[in-house]
Amino acid sequence: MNLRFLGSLKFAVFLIIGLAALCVLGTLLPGAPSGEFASERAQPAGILSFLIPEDLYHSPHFLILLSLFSLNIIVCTLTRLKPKVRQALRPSLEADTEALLAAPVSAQMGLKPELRASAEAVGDALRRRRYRIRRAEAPGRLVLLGRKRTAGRFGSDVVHLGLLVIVAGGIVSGLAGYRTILAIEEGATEPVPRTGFSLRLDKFDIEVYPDGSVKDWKSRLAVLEDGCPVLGKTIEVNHPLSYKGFLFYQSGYAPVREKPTLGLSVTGIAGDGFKRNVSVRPGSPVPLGENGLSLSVVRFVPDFALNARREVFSRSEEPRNPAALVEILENGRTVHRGWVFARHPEYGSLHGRADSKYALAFLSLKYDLVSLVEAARDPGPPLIWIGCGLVMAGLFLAFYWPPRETRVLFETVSGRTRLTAAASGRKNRAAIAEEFRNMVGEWKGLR
Amino acid sequence: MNESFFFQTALVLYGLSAAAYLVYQLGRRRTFSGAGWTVGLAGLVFHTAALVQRTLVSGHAPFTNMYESLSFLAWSCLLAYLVMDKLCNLPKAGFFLLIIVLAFMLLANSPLMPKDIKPLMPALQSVWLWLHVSITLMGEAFFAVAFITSLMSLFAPSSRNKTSPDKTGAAADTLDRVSYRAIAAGFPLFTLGGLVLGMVWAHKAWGAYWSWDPKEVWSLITWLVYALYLHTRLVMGWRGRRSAIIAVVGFLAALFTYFGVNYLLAGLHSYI
Ligand code: HEM
Repeated sequence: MNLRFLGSLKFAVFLIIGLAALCVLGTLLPGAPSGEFASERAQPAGILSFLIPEDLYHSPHFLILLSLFSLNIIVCTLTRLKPKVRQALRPSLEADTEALLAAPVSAQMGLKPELRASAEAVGDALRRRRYRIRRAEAPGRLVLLGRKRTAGRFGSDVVHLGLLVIVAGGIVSGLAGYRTILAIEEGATEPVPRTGFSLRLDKFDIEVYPDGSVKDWKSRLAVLEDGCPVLGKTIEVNHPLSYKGFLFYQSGYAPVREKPTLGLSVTGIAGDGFKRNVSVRPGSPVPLGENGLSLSVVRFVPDFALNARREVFSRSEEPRNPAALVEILENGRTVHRGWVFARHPEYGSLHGRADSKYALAFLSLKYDLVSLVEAARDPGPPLIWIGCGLVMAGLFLAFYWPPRETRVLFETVSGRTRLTAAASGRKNRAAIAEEFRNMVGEWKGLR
Repeated sequence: MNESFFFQTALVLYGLSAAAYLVYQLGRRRTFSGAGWTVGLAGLVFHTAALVQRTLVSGHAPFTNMYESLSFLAWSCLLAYLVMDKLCNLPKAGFFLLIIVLAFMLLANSPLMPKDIKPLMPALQSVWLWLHVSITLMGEAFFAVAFITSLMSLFAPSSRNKTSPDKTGAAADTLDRVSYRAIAAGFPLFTLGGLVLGMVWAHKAWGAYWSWDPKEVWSLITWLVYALYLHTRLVMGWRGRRSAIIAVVGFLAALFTYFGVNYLLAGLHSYI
């Protein structure tokens, strides 16, 4: 592969089509990976699995294509840049009557004032239209070169440079970036991996809309250095906390399945009007008033089921059929023991036990929540934003800052001054021709 | 007067505008294209009122579900067309463009698209939503204009294989240039909205500026197709038929990014 090909646009076209095709296959093929969701799908087999590996966007195929793409831009831009820069800084001031007249937009006329005076007047006219002038003089000949928006020529180079910077940012992110999810309970402190500091969650709130859908999650966080708080901030979605190169994002929350809180009601069936609602955690007895009674949840299963030997077990961790084995003690003596079901309230009240004075009902089940905080250290973004800025600036230059050039040759031909001029530029030929016509109209005053 | 009234009025006016452009298409009388333009603009005014009304009532940007964003896309397409028509004189594209606008409007209006105002989920509560979506859809609107003019150029007789450069023959070249200008307007907008601001927002909301989410990948594909259009044209000198085909493929990719990804592929973006 020689340098010419490496920097050629043919190769660029091939690479752009290749990248696009891989992306299409990557998202469309059944079982194709899609970023974070890769693991949720079945993987393709055979030749497809070779073409479209599990983690396509980080696979050798993709990275090789991306490197070739970068190399292609570098070689292409560099080889074209040198003559372009030379042209911009030291443009040729040559002019040839025939060549000028052959240009699509050109004119020729005789002028009254002598060579220099004519050039002076025409130069002023060009300057009024914001052209910057260069001139070259030889006996009997004078050349003016007026140019404007020269920077527009470099629009494409600025875009390409920006793309390279973005690719570089991606590489930096890939190599030096680190991210992990911290699950923090209210009041708990979690060390942040790979750093010397920790995060403490002081408060976690879920705001809901009237219809019950989630409006926002908020975590009040404190950064602890050697156990001492040094910074506090409430983070929410779209508003991360930044500390020592790490950003902490509110990414969601999760229930702690090991930490349920049950709401139970206890009713006396002896007709003495005894009724208490309690909130209780398994393993921690709570008093039922001042009468020496206490209640404890001996066992809690979120998804109650019986096995073949009629032993209780939990089918899953999900609260599909929550049930609690509850004991009521009176001065240390068990006066009630039985299962209460959230989904089957009749069991608790109807099957009041012959030996018990109490009926129980399951009112609520709540879990402690952990706030999920995503910790990310990524040195890539500054490069990404610089690259994006360059790309946008370059696009503006390429599309909306079209360079224009007007070349005017003054010659003394048999004692009279003759002007030959041509205008050129990329983009919008019609506007160039119109401006040129107007200028020529002004110069006619010199005839 | 509520949003629905403004929306329905806009829909009717767009229908009338399309009808006027159709009459122009058949008879080439400038009065009808002029009428189409004016009625289209009137529709746009009502449509704008509908969007403003919705924003005021919902308290958030008018493009957070399919109904809203289809309506906004239709609005953008018409706006892009009216602008391009002022710049390049495109009355012949009017009818076809209004067909697209009407298609988006009718789809938005269909019972398939729930219109009730839902509260915004946390990630969408951001100014970046405004910037990202509005600029992206505006870019796609210019791509829609290029799509129409490119399709027209594919069916217009080309001047190259004609011996006499008659009036219809010149049309293909003009359409080719207009397509380029529309893409020159749409490409920077799409790059800014779809890629740059998308990355900024993703960085703010998810902490990762790029996650290879299907919608991101498809935006990238769309963008690559238009980059291909620009390069084959500028550096390899492609014009006419081949350019037009790339512009058509580009818009189909944009449509897939818009619809296909939501309905066929799952991802972070699927709630929009
Ligand atoms: C997909 C990524 C790319 C983007 C977004 C991009 C963008 C651009 C833009 C906006 C222009 C100016 C177009 C115009 O003025 O109409 C341009 C020109 C150009 N691009 Fe790219 N480019 C990309 C990739 C490449 C690659 C891989 C090459 C490698 C050969 C390349 C080579 C060129 C060349 C030679 C020009 C013309 C330069 C000039 O005459 O000013 N581009 N590019």
